[in-house]
Amino acid sequence: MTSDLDQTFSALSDPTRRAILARLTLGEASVGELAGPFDISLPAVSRHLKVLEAANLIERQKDAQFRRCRLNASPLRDAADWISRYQEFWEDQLDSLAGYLNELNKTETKPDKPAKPNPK
Amino acid sequence: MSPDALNDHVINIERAFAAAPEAVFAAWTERDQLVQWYGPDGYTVPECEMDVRVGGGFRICMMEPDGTPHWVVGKYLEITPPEVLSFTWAWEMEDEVGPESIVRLEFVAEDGGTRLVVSHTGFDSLESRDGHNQGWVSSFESLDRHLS
Repeated sequence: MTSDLDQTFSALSDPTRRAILARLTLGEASVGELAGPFDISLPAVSRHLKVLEAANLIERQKDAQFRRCRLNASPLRDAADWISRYQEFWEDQLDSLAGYLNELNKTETKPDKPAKPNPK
Repeated sequence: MSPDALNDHVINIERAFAAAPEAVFAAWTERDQLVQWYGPDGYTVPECEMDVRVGGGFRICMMEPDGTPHWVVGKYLEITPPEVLSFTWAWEMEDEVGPESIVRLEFVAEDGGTRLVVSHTGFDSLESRDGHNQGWVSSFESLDRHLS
């Protein structure tokens, strides 16, 4: 599970691969169709597809002459879960910090003991 | 570092505090202060070890109101008071340490208070951490400036 998540984030850490995934949300596509919008070679696109396939983010037809690619969204859901869990954790953590700093402010601005009276 | 690094910052949270950066920074780096607030609301910190220097480690127990402990361990990567604090982050589960990720805090002076920017990065950024972290961080910053 953990290494899957590593792989998902690693696969997502590239703008071309994210664009390929975005394209595949619209439906299946051939390698040629996927390469279309990018100013890179077909072998380069093929390398990106291998990374996405290894991360289980896409599936490729095994036997067809033109191996069409299809999005597999479940690892993306795991990544989104990881993000939202931590998002919530940090929001909570910062709530606590804000509460602590507010208390600190109060004790500083309203000391228990009155300030020293002017000696006169 | 390539622009891909931008994507490593998977979580970005900002919050404004009515306290100076020095005070907010101290709340994270002084043990006596940290144990008073760390963890989500209602949690307590029964145990906390922290060696606040670059390469130094921390091990903190956050305890749920029902007594369930959650241990987090990590190492400090960057300490620039009162501007930046960065550390690794991993949950300890039954004698096993979970995957490490990286937390970076930026303390920005703003309107007499502090805007705290929390970034929690994905796992793959760790490859570039060892020995290269300072360079990575600063190159990321310059990249960020370049892109903005």
